Amino acid sequence: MSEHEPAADATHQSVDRYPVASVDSVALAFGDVTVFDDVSFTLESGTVTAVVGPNGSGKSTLLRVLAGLLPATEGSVTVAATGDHPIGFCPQEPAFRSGFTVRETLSFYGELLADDPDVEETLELVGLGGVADRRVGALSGGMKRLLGMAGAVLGDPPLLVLDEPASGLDPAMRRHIFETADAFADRGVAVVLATHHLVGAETADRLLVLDRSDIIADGPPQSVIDDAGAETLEAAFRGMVGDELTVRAGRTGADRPRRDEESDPETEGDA
Amino acid sequence: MYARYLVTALAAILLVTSGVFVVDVDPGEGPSVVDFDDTITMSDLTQAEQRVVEERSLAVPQAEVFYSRYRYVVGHQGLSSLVTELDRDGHERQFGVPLSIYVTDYADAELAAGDDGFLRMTGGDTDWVAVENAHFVVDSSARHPGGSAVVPFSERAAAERFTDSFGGTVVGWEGLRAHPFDRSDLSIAAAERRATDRHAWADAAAADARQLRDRPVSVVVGEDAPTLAAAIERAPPNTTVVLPAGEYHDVNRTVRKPLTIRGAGVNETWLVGDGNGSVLRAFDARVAVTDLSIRGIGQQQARPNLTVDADAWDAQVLRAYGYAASGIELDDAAGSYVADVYIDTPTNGVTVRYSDGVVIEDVQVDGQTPWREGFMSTITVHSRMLVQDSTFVGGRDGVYMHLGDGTVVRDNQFADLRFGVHEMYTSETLVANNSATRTRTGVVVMTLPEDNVVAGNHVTDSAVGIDVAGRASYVVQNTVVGNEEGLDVGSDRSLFARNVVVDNDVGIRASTLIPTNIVTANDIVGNDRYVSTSLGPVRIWTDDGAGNYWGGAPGVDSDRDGFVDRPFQPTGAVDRYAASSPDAHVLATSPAVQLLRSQEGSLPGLRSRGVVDEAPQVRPVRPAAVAAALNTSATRAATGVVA
Amino acid sequence: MNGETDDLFAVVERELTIVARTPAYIATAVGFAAIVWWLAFASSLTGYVPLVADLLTPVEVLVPLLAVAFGYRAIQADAASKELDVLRTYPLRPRTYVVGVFVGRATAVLSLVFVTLLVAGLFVPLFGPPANPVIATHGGDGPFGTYLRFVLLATLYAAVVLGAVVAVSTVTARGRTAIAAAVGVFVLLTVGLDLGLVAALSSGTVGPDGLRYLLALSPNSAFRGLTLALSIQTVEAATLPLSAVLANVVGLVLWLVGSLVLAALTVWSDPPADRWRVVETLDAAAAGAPDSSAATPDEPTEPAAAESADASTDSSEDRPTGPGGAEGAPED
Repeated sequence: MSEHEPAADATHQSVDRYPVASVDSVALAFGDVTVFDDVSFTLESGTVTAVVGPNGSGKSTLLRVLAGLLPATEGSVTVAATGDHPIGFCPQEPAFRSGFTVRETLSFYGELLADDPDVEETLELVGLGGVADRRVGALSGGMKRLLGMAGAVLGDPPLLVLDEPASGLDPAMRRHIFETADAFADRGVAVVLATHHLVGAETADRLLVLDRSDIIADGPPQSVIDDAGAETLEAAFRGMVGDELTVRAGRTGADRPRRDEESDPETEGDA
Repeated sequence: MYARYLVTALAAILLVTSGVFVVDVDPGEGPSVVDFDDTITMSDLTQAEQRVVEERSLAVPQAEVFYSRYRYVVGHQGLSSLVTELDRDGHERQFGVPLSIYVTDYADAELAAGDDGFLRMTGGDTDWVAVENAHFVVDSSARHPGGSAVVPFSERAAAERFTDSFGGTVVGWEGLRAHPFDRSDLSIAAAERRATDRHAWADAAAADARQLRDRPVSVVVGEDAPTLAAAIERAPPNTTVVLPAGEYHDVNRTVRKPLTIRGAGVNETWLVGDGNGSVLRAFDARVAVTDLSIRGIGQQQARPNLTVDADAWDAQVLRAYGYAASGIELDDAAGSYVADVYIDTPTNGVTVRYSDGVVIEDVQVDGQTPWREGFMSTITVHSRMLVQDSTFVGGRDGVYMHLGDGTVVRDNQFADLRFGVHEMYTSETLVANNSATRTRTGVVVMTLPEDNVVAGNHVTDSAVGIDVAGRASYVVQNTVVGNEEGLDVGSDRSLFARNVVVDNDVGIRASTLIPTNIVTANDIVGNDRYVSTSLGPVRIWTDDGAGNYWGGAPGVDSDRDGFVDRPFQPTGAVDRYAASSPDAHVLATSPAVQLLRSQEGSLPGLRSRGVVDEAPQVRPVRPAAVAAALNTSATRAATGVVA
Repeated sequence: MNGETDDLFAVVERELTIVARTPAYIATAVGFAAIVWWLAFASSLTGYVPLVADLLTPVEVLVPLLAVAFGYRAIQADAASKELDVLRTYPLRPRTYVVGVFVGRATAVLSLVFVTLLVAGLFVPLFGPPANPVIATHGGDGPFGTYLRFVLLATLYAAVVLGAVVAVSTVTARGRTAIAAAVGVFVLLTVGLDLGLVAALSSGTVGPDGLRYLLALSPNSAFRGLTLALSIQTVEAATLPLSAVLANVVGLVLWLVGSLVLAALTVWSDPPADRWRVVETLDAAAAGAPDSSAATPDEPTEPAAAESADASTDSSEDRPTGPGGAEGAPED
């Protein structure tokens, strides 16, 4: 991936960047449990931003707030977009209906958009062109992620929000996922993804390190490493969040997983 | 985008078919009057009276009723049955509401009364008029054989013209509904009242006839006269001719005066015929024949060429049965008496014609076996008679009645005949406490008469136990055991109650199309099949909340009211096996069966071939009689001998 | 903008395709038809009205069962597979989605109920016992129209129950309780509400006079009442005023509309505008200084109210897409 990174970086730099999303003093609390507090940042077109942090630090929740799936308790999120698909969202481990083929699944989403997006092109873009007629139920986990990413990118939203797109995948597929995210950015999209794979995060244009309900570092990976005075990202990360078990569950420490994250992942029937 | 077409198509189909909520689907919308002969007819008239109507071309107003919950068109001959049926308890349950009722319209007909007093049409035409638009003349002098005639007209003026000739008053449909008509009371009490009255008549008739034994002896054959003929010739009226023991071949005699002929006893005095015609005839009132035996009777049964002074249909029956060769032939012999007589006959035993009050008791008649070769052991035509304490073995019918209204047959034994008691064109009889065995039918009532009582009889080992047709009749307290078919409910507007039906192949057969009978408080135990039904609607066999005892009916009586909480369907797919299979009980309570049965009792008039008892009895109604019947049955089975 | 109808039919087609491709649904449909036909065959088949009487109770049980089978996973499955989150980012209104899902499933269920019962009606002329040929019959056993009315009422009833099931599927979409809730709605609709009426009647809370209109509140009582009044036309039902019949219709329609509204309000809602919004462009100045963006205190495009403290109260009712709640707070 390192051989790809400079090239991607160069490409990203060549695009005229402009702000796509602005997160302003956003706070989120479930009752007395504060997930994060006073978080602000801006996302720019053509960049990949990786949100990293210990488990339970609120990465997914922050992305859901950003995507408009969850209302912030305080502060505001503004997204700049003109089309009818302003934000592409790929949930953590998306499942989709197993009875449909890959193409049918994407075509359905395409029908919801006004300007008939090119489903085939999107499939090629994520690398699912070869399995377009395969039933979703027969896809590997990684392919399902790619399908989720295809569903997110369809209709060219200016902002793509990918929730843990690479977790639980083998390294080759993980790499492909990150490359695909880069490819999206190359098209001028602002990509933000949550990940706890630091190796993948290193390829991002920018890191947002989230811990203890706050952004504790923000910048290109190399500058994050430098600021921490470490050799590697992992070392920098350890320096920031500590060596202890990297689980965070809000400031009161109570473990309150969201119910949808424990939902039964089964899809309807098997065709 | 196939979805668009599918949804549109479904929506269109549903929308178009929803038009059915706007159009009228009232089943009764404008049914046209049908040919009256094609209706299921309920009549004010017995079949005997109907024969008179046909033969003399009398006018009897008719009605056709189209019910909401009964698929057949119901016809009424005479309008009193129409009004009383509409008011009957449970009528609406079986039939629904009348959608339309049409009655004969005599507005354009010319009506007159004949010499017999019955109404006739002498010209013009009849039509039909809906009851709401009709004007009815009631309480006029117009009659039909069934009684006073209610005569409908479409125009009030025509009705009033009719009252000018026949009197009476003009009423509308509501007025007619309120008019008092005789309503039969179908209860055990009503049956007992009738039985008591008829027993009283019989007791009086018997007491009166027995006085004939007390006539003074005037002639002793062999002493005072050489032959029976000479003795009859010589004996003055109201005396006794004595026939000492011995055989008398001097026969084919006719008594034309009130005499008592007394032998020395059965098997002591024999009157022996020569095989031609009747042995003894009595053509005068109050003749008595006692204490003797008769044989040598002729073979002649039908007399096809005989001239008979009667309506043609009646004459036909008389020629067929009423003039057959007999042991004793009574004609115009009211109040005569036959007692302690044995008759061995290939044809009739005692023939009674035009002789009311004849009493036959302690007689034994042996007819031919097989029955096809025999004839009627006793026959009454146009006579009310009493037959009691007698025994009839072999031959066609034990007691045959033709126009024998009011006849009482009680405490007799019948065996190896076609029918024990056979009623034709005969109403208001009492058939009580007889026993019949090995017959085709123990007691059979045919030809739609009315007001017959069949009570306390005991029929075993017959093809059919008791088969009663007609209306307003009472079949009560009988016991039928070990027959192919116990009871045949072939009547209408009649009561079948407190009968014990045990160990028959089929307990009860429901054979009428029109479900107007009350079948309640019967004990149906140990039959191979509870009930069989012929074509026709579902019959509800529960009266006023009380049903029958069906041996083995599944269910419990949780409210301790004496009735099983669960309706019983003796013809149902599962219930029919309830008596024989405990497994049927398990299945009977399954939700699936409950689901299937849940609506069985609803709309009975539109269903076919079923019986539902909504309140089965928990215990037998007549436990002692059931126990005795079961005991009889067991004895019979064990020994092959009739108990 | 893509038409809402186009979106609707896209969802409808998706649902229909799912139904057609799921063997369990096909098996359920076959089972339903088989049971109904067997029941019809086992009834006396002497006429259309008796057949209606025979099928009424089974239909009251089987149709809700069918609706539960076809509907309980409709929206819950999209929630479980997280497709709901993806759908939300598309320009699809919650009501379009809910109505689309309902119409899709209803097309399958209603067609099945309609055709199955219609075919059962054909048994009367095909397998019914012959009337006594000697005796005149008339329409006392009811013309086909009375049966068709029953079929249509059963179809409407199926739609109502399916609507309730879809609503329950929506409300319980986020938990594992979908099947329990579906069973609950089945029990509620088939016996629960009627038992409630019985209890109210026996306790004297409701008099027999009040029963007439209360019955309309229970869908299966309303369905039964309509069938008795319009199809079987029982003697008792004939005495009912038109208002009682209309009350039943209104009751059923209210259940259907209410269920769908509840589902549309519950399925999802966008955050309030002062918390999350889409604008055409953000201030271009921010693009010039990307590195400082993390601390951008005040976006000029943002509303002044962005930092007001009282904004924490959810005031989203004025949004066309309805209030939040499904996503808002942890359920426990």
